[in-house]
Amino acid sequence: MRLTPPLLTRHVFHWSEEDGPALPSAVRRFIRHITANGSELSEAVFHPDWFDMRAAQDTRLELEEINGAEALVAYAQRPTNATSYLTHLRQLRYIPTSIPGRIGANERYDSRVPMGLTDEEREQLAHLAAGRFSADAEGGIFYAWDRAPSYQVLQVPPAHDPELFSNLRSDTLVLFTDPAESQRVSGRHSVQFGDDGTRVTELVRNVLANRALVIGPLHFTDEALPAGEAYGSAQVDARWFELGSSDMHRHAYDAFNGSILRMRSDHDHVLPYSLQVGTIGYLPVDWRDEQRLNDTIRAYHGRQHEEHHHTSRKATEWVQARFASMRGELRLRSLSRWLVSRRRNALQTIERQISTASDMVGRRQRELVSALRDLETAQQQLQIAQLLPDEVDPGELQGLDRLMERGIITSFTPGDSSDQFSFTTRELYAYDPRSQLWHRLGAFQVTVNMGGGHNSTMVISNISGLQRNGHSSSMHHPHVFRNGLPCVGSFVDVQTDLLINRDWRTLIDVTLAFLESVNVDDVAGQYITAWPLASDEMQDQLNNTHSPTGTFGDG
Amino acid sequence: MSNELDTTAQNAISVTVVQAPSTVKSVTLQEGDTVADAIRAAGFSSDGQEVRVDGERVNLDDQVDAGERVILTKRIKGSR
Repeated sequence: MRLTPPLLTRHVFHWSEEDGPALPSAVRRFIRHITANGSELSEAVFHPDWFDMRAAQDTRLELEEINGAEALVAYAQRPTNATSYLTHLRQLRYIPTSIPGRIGANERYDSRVPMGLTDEEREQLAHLAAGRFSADAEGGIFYAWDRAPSYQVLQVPPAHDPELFSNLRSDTLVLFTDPAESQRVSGRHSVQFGDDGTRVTELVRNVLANRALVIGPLHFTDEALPAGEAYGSAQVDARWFELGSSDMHRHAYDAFNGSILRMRSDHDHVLPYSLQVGTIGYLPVDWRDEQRLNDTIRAYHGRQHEEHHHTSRKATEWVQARFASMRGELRLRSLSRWLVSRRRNALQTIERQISTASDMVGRRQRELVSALRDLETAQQQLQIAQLLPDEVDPGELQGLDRLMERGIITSFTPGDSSDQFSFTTRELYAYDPRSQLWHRLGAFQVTVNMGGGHNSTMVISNISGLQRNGHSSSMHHPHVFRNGLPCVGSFVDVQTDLLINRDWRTLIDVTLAFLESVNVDDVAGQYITAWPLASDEMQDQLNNTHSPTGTFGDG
Repeated sequence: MSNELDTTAQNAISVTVVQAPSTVKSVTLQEGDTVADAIRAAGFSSDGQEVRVDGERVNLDDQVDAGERVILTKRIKGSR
């Protein structure tokens, strides 16, 4: 059995000649609000004294004919936001059943079984009291109408005991869900609770059997009775028996200032209807599980629940007289609300579109800047390439051949593309001005990719096995790290321009200069001493062939 | 007179001088001219520059040969 409260509540107010002059006070207030504050009709319909439904966001009233009788129907679309929904509609409470034990420990669920219950009902209550809620159970919905201090509500199915109504209090408002039953008992709702304890017991039984629902505060206020004790409990029963007076029943009913709450659950493991008689409180609501709250509310969305309220002929006249003139206003008000809502939604949509477009413009701008930069680089490369002759430059070819013939580079290997090549050097030496000695750095392989513009690469590796721990471990050269990437220092501008311009020939010359020029003033270059000294013979040869400083100009 | 001109022409050599990274000039020198002569003929200055010929360290008074390529680049100092 899955019983779910609706989001759309439909209140139908019936009236007839037989209603008589007596009006429930709450209905009188309701009518008074409608007539006195017509412009605030929705507030009146959901006034706190009525059902505390101020949270209703969209309400409308319609005159309808239901089962041959005129009815004022109020529709209330409750907010869909979970927080406001549960905050404002205080009648509705969510019971997360994923907290077994907590519910069972709640004193409001009295394990003592009211008198007059069947064995099955006792078992159900015991089950409830024991807190046997499955850990993976879905939540339940707790319906409690404690904001109805001045009236009682009964939900009566066709099979109810008609005698029950003869014992209702005069200000009791009857709620019918069955139209035929509503017609049958109309006019008989203004009744008193009697002094017959069995009648009340019968009422309790009907509630438990889903044949009746009593809503409102219910607890004993008299000192003669156990304070806060549940009606029908063993203690109350024993007390009454102890007092031995039939007046006790009357006394009890006089002190009867409460209601029976019914809990609805959408889970099979929870009693579909349970009874709470006694001091009223609320179960704590676990707000942490928002997802479950939202899921539940979504599941209920769009369902309709109908409540019938009977009012008198006089109320009919009042409402009809006032309502007729207000229909146009209501329609306009409803339309106005819709238009405002529509405009607000349209604004939000436009704001979202602007935000999205703004993000996209920013992204495109960044892409444009990047593309322009690439275009500029490509145009520069194109200009250089256009200046190059289509035929092989004999001087360029001879220059490369001369480098190899003289053993300055020992190999030259074209790469997979015209922008890639590698070459190997002869053994290179570098001079340490501190010691005035030459160090043997070894031969190197230099691999160049000039096709990446600013992202072109040059990787250098020592092919003489002379990697040394310098500024960091396994350096190929005092200025070349283990991964082959050089720290080019002042070489960077020249190197970058040559790579971009694809001037491979000059790049070889300048790379040789870089490899043979160790900057001992640099924290990395000072580790030149980690490389072996050149032999004495080579020291002499290098000193004789080239003055260490003679390479440079006079500046 | 014409023999002298012929002799002069026969002794002329062509050398490429590059001011790295991208300025390239071809100059005509006489046999026996030096690296410094080539740089001067190209209109460059060796002040503060590292000078190499075909990748090799040279002295400014070293002789250049036909077809060689003189490279001037600012002093290269690697750094961390």
